[in-house]
Parts: sequence; structure tokens; C-alpha cells
Amino acid sequence: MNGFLRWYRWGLGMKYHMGIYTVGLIFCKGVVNALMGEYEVDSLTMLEMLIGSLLFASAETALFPGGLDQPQPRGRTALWAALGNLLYVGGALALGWFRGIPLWGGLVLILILEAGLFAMWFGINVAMQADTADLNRRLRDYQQE
Amino acid sequence: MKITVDQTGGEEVEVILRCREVDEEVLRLLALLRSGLQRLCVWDERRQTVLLNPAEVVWCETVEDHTFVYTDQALYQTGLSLGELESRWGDLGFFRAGKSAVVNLHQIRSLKSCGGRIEAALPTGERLMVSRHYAPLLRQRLGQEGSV
Repeated sequence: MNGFLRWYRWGLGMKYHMGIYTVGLIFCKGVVNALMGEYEVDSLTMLEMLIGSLLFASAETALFPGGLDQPQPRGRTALWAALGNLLYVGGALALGWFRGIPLWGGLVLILILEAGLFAMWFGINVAMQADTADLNRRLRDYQQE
Repeated sequence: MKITVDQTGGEEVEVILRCREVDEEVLRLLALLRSGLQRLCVWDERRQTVLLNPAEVVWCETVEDHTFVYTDQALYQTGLSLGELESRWGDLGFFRAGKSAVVNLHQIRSLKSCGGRIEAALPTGERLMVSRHYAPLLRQRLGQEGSV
């Protein structure tokens, strides 16, 4: 029972990030398709994107078992970013998620991926940690009043 | 405000508040004194009644209409609701952290920002999540600018 509960809790945390990544990917695919005059997204492609995101989110929970909002060692953060690139750029190339897109379009998508990963790292490691430090400073002040 | 402690050797502690008028600050002091003197009536699992110093309380929660009180050593039950606990000892640091939890801010070890929510580490080893609804109120209580 404990094992099941642990697995269930892991699933709850993981699927939230998997959902965000999948929605981001499908949104990009939708925009690219619309720009190329195609107003639909293939179900199989969406399924592949979901599986790619599942793999990335699972690897993420393995790399950061305490959660992404804990202070992270740089090596693991670098590995996380590399894995993101490998799974998403690799998946797009291998499975043809953005087939027919010009080279500059591919570069823009890679740029969006890098910006997304950076924004996530910044939000968690810089903004949230600064907020945590501020909250704790104020808590100490309150407790000493 | 001037604070003088006069050791006279008498048996009972006497507090005299001298002021020009009974303003908000004086009322707050009175409330603080009264709430500090009031004991929280709780009972343990053997139904033995204990009068607890509210400052000892780490956090309280309601489960199926029962209010449980946690200190860093023991677990008790009380007949008071979370709303009553908060209103009686709010000046002592009791803060509503969620629909079913009140936490003593003086007992929190550390806080962690989790986006819209705040996680509080307690001396009991538990981690209490302050919900999205109450997190801005906590920020405001701690004096963080632009909260709420």
C-alpha cells in the first residue's frame, strides 16, 4: 500500500509538468501547422509529444527527487537542460514533428525551447529562492518582535 | 512606548498600563496580555484535560469536525473551532493557513515559496502548505509589500 501511495504521489507531481510540456509542444505544433496552411494536428503526433513529455517529466523527477523548487546542483541542472534538448530536438528530428519547416523556423523553435527551459530554471532557482529568502527574513523579524 | 519592569518581591505579577488615552496600541497590548494569559483547554487520547499555554501550540487542524492541536511533543483535541482559535490567539501568532489548518507563526522553522503557495516547515517535522487563498494574507502578515 505504501509503495502504491508513493507511486501515486510521484504521479501527481510528475503529470503536472508533463501536462505543461505537452501543451507547450502541441501549441507550437499548432502554430507551425497554421502558418503552413494546415489547420489540424495529427493525433499520433500529439501522442508522441505526450510520450516525449512523459519521459522528460519522469527524468526530471529522478534528477530532482526533492522537487524542482529545491536548490539544485549545477551538474543536475545542466543534465536536465541537455535531456530536454535531446528529447525535444531529437524527437522532432526523429519523428518529424515539424516536417516541412524551413531551417530558420527550426532555429526559432529551438530558441523557444531554450528560452522556455531558461525561464523555468530562472523562475525556480532565482525568483522563488529570492522570495523564499525574503519570506524567511520577514518570519524571523516577526518572531523576534 | 516605555516598558519598566519593577521587581518588588510580591507574590502576584501585576501589570499596570499608564496611558494618556485608551488608543489602538493600548487595546492591542491589552488583547495580547489577555490572550497570553488565557489557557487553551485540550484533552489527550486518554481524555485527560490539559490547560495548554497557546505559545506551545505548533499547529491545529480539523478532521471531520474534530479539532486537533499539535505541540512539538504531543497531540491533543479541543472543543474550539479553528476560527475561534485564530480569533482568540491571532495576536499571539495564530494564523489560518488553510480551510482546515491554523499554524502558530512563532513555531514555524522556515518558509518556502512554491509559486502561489507557501510551504511551512514545522518543528514536528511536518510540512504544512499554506494555500493560494491564504498565502497572500501570510505575506501581508509578515509585512511583504504588495501582497494581497
